[in-house]
Amino acid sequence: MPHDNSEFEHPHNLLPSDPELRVKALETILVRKGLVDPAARDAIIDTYENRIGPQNGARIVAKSWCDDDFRRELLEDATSAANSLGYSGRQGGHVVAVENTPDLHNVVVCTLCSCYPWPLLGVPPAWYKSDAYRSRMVREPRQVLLEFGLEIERGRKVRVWDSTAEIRYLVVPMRPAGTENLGENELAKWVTRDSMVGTGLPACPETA
Amino acid sequence: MSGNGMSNSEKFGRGSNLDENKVLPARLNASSPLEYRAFDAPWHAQLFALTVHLSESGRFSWQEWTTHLGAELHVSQKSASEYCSDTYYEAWLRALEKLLLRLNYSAQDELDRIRELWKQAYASTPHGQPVILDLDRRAPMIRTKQGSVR
Repeated sequence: MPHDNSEFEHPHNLLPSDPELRVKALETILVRKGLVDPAARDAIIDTYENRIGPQNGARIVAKSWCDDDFRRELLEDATSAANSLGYSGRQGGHVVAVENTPDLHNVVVCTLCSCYPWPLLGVPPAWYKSDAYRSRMVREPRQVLLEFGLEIERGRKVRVWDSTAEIRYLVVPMRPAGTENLGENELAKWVTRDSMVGTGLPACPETA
Repeated sequence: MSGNGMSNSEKFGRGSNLDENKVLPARLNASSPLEYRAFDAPWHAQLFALTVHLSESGRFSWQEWTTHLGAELHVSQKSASEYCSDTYYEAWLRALEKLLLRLNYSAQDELDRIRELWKQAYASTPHGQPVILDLDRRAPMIRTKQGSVR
């Protein structure tokens, strides 16, 4: 009879890490007390893993490049402009769109924790949550942007927006030159996540 | 959309000696600006969803939450010499535990006890079988005064 030694060397399941065990303990306690509905929790995970992401913000930016009325609405009241395209929900309560111009580059940070416009960009990337980004972006934005590969000319102003639990920011990057013939759907592919945080620029989808 | 199979340490160079407070290492920025991956580990996702769900059910306001998270991140910033998403979510976990304790939704001995029971469940479940913690079956053990479980 074939005999698998490894089964005897590892007879039990691998023990999860301490944080994993603590999350399991929290879940067990909260579900048991009726404070958490496992189905609602799973729906939240599915939403952020599969349904919401930077493609939402990209569609908004691309539309603002093509539609002047929409652009004005976006800059005036981004929450309502986003709602009109069906993007609303938690962490999108009050969104402010800040527009890049030849004289001004905008960049977003959350110095307290990691506030971010979830309905438009999804969950923030790792670097946005890092201590280095959060502490340094307000102190030396040009240097940090340089580390992202983005050099802002001397004469161009850099404005840093600090997000809070109440106000989230969406950077509206400038429409790249040479895209005049493209429609909204094509343009949306140029709008990168980083360009909507201000740490990058729109990029040609073929070369990105 | 979802993960590419890389562990945190592969992706973020957890073992490196970079001082995150001085340098924003290129590798933190290594993910493509087009790539979207919400979570690096299942427990990050579970913790995130628990917190959002609790706040939406009115257990605490989001502002209350960000204040707690900010305070914990501030502490971890001083103690950790490097960043990885585990560090971030460990601070998140401490913040949520503290907030729930403060609001009396849980107690420390309860958290410790159930974590220990999960540990035992893993240790006693044969490899390959699902790990289940049946509290109803184990209820008498939980009700026992301190000492017998730990």
